[in-house]
Amino acid sequence: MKQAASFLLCPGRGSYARSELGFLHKAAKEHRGRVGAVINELEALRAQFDPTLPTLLDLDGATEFKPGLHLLGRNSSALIFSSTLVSARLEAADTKPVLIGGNSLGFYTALVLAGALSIADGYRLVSMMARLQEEGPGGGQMLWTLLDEDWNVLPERLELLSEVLQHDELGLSIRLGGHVVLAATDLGLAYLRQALPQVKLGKRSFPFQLPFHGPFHTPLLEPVAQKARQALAGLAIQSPSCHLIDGRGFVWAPHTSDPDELLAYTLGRQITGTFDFTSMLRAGICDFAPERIELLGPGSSLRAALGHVEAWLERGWARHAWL
Amino acid sequence: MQLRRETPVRAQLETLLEALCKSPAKTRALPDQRISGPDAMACVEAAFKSRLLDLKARELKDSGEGFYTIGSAGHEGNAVFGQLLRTTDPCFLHYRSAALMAARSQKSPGESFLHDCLLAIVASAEDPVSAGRHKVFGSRSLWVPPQTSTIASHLPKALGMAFAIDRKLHLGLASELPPDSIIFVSFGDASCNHASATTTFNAACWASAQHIPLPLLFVCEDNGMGISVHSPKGYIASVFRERQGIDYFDCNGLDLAEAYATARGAIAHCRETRRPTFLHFKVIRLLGHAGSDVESLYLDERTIQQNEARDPLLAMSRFVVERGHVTGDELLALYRGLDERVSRVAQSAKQRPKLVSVDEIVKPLDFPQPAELSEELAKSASMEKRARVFGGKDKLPENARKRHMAWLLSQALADLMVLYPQMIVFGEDVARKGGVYHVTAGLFARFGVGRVFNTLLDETTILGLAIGAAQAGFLPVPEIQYLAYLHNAEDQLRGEAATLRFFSNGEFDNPMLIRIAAFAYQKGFGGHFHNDNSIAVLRDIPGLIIAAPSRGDDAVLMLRTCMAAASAARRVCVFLEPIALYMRKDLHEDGDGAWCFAYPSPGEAAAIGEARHYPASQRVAETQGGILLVSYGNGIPMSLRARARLAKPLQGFVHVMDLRWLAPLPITDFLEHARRADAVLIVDECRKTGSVSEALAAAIAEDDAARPRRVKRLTAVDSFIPLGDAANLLLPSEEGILAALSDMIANCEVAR
Repeated sequence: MKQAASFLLCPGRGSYARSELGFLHKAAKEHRGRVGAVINELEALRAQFDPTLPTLLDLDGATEFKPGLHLLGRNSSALIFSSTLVSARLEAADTKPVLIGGNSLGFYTALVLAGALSIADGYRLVSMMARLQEEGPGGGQMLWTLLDEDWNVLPERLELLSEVLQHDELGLSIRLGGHVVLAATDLGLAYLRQALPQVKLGKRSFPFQLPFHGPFHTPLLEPVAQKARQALAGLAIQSPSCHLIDGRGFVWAPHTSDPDELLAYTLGRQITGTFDFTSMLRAGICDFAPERIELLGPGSSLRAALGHVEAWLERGWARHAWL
Repeated sequence: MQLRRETPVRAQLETLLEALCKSPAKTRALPDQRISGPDAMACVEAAFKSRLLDLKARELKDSGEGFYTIGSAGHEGNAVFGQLLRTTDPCFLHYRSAALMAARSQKSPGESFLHDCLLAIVASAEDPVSAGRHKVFGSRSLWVPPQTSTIASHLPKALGMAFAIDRKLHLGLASELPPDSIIFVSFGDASCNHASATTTFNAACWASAQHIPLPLLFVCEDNGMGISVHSPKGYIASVFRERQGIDYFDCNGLDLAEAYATARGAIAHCRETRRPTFLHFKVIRLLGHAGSDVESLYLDERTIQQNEARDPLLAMSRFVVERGHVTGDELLALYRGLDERVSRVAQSAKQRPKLVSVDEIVKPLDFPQPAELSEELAKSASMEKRARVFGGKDKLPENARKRHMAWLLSQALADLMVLYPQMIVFGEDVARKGGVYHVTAGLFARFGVGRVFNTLLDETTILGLAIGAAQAGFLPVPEIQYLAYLHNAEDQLRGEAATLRFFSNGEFDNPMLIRIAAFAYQKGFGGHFHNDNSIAVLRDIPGLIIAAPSRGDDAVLMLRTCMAAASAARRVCVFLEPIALYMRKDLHEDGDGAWCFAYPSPGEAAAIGEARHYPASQRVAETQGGILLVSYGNGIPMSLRARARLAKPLQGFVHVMDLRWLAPLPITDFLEHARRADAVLIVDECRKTGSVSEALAAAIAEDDAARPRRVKRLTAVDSFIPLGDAANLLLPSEEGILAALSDMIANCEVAR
């Protein structure tokens, strides 16, 4: 069977939730030959990083999803990173990656899938970032939507957004299709709770706070980024072997990318600058015209954003986009 | 030999790439110190993209789905500029610049060059550059203003922008560009012969001779051919190598490392010295001039094959494999991956919508609506600032006695310069001398040489300067000394300034107000160059605003409106100033001062396309019967005088309408009056052929309610204006108007 030219998308932390419990177990059981080794490798890396942590398979095999356990950075980061790598193995036979990207933490997974980082270094990067964030300055992320039911961006929401972004204690963390993730200190979060009115889109209510998430992709994380640069200075990053797209929509091409620049981005702008998943999707879809867009990993957290962008492109981007 | 060369050229490259796979895994050759591996590979990737786009464009044309086949094959070495220039160094590009654009876009986030380019090739309305209007290289985020020039008409504006970016710094105005930015402009060897190119090289030398900073990098991509005509051997080098004022570099653009190193040197030189720099970039042309061009009609088989053997992609491929930057397998995989990618993107682009309605096509050409300008027109500089410039509150022009048009205009220009710090005034003799007719008098002293300056005697440069300065954020107000002088530079207006909004779907603009001393009636002096009365060349330029005031206060009001249209609605405006009315003070008799007017207070303006009526109180509702006398410019005072010579009771039957705006014409207003009149007399000082009179007569002919009216035109004769009294024989005269009015009144029922 012809492999589809695919744009692989790696999800961020929020994608491993209640209904994803058991994903690794199921994969290990049904496709041991394809994923058994990688799960073992990831478990070994986890034990090596911090032997006191529960194993991935224990977390994944829990009878009950406990937010206070599963959503902690140290656990949820490793779970989504590992599950995404496993899911990539499962899809490998049908897909020929032409572009790899991810949302937020998903960029680290993308680095691994694009051959810029080994699994071991990828795991270390993800876990170190989770640890530093847990030790970090507090605050969190809040999801808000700009859309009406027809997925048009509402000008009054944009206006409100630019108004709230004037506040010192917060920043635009992720452009997520027609949604936005705002990241704030605890004070900023309190302000957002009163500044953003409750709205509904479909069955979902906005805004809501993403549990146990730090204020990633804003300058609030500069201290974390500094620590990351010290802790991860030796990360063996290299030029990717497949086109890799980052949180600005910038494409790192094989043979042309400077590993030092990629490392600087990974431990710099990726942590402290707005993650523009919208622009990444637009550039990737338009300029690579993939036959398939593969949302890797368990969960469906990126489906909505992808849906928005695809719908806008179909309608003629310029007229409908939030640019 | 096959006539179409796409297949053999493609096969030759693919054969080489396959052969390179058989070479040892990674050779141990020392890297070339002139270019790093990643930089070389970025250029190669861009070059592959460029070639694959060329081939795809031809395929799309063959299947009736593509509409542009001028390609970049043979010029792919220009990728080095894409790699080396900053994305804040604005580029004015030749049409063979796909590799440059590909490399440039590879350096920036969020770009989609292949997609954009293919949408343009299939003329999709979603093409982000021109929305299906043309296939051009352009990008706002990459600082590439789109160029539709097929020859060299983009050179004057490139020079204009180079001048402007340093002038902006000098004036302390905020700039979006870093202070050491340079302007890049590319063109072919054949284009070097074009008037707009030679004039630009000359202007660069003229600036150099005065040590005016001009960070402009000319890149002549010399492939030795202009379609089927060979450039003389060594011609470009012979013309430019020793040219005083322009610093010369040259390189073989087919050799990646040499091209990269030389381009780096030339860019650095231009950036550091701020001097015009010329890089002679020697390339070849493959696949003919365009898809329709069969090279074998004018080149022999051997030459074509020799050229093809020099395909720069072959040399680049060998270079990166031999230097160990990539294995043959990796390079082939890169090429194949890009080939498939270009095909997928083309497949997707083909399905996107096209332009399907006239409204959609002409939208960027719409004239601005009054509401668009109201906020801008409400702006005025503070009283303190104005008083400082005019030398005290009592010296403010609105406090002065009534004056003639030239004086009022010069005050209005000064006022606008206070209001708009980014406004610059330039042209021949406009500085110290204050212009041939003193319209710019006092501006140089008040605002300094940074904002009011003389140019060399070359209208192409003047208008190119205006376009480039506008794109750098200035509000240029160039002066063309006489209407006839516009004609040798009209393409800068017609083909460049006026088209930019259209071909960029309103994304790019070059707002400006071009003042032109115009029209005849100079008592026999000056001959045809100083009495030109043909504006046909302006009137058919879509979207161009043309003002032609007949009196000083209107001139002020309309000048303000034009500046607001330039500033807020980003339009190009032409302001025709009747030379013969500049100094006119009297209307009916010597000393009556009836053609002097008070300076309108700041904040007042005239709506675009709105006429003035005499008597002012007699508007549409009250007009019934009588004669509608419609005119503009010199025709207005003549018409008013002729009317005054009618017997008193008859004067009330003649309604005079001053069009004021020649584009957009106040056609609705005109027809409403024409429908109520018994007869219509059109007095047009321009030639019978191509003048506004034709449009007015045609409007009546097409209007069921107005058609039965008697219509007469009094126009200038289709001739050039001679010297002496003979000039008057060709032009509408007061006597002629009086005679026509009398004749019409004799046949006018109401008047009878």
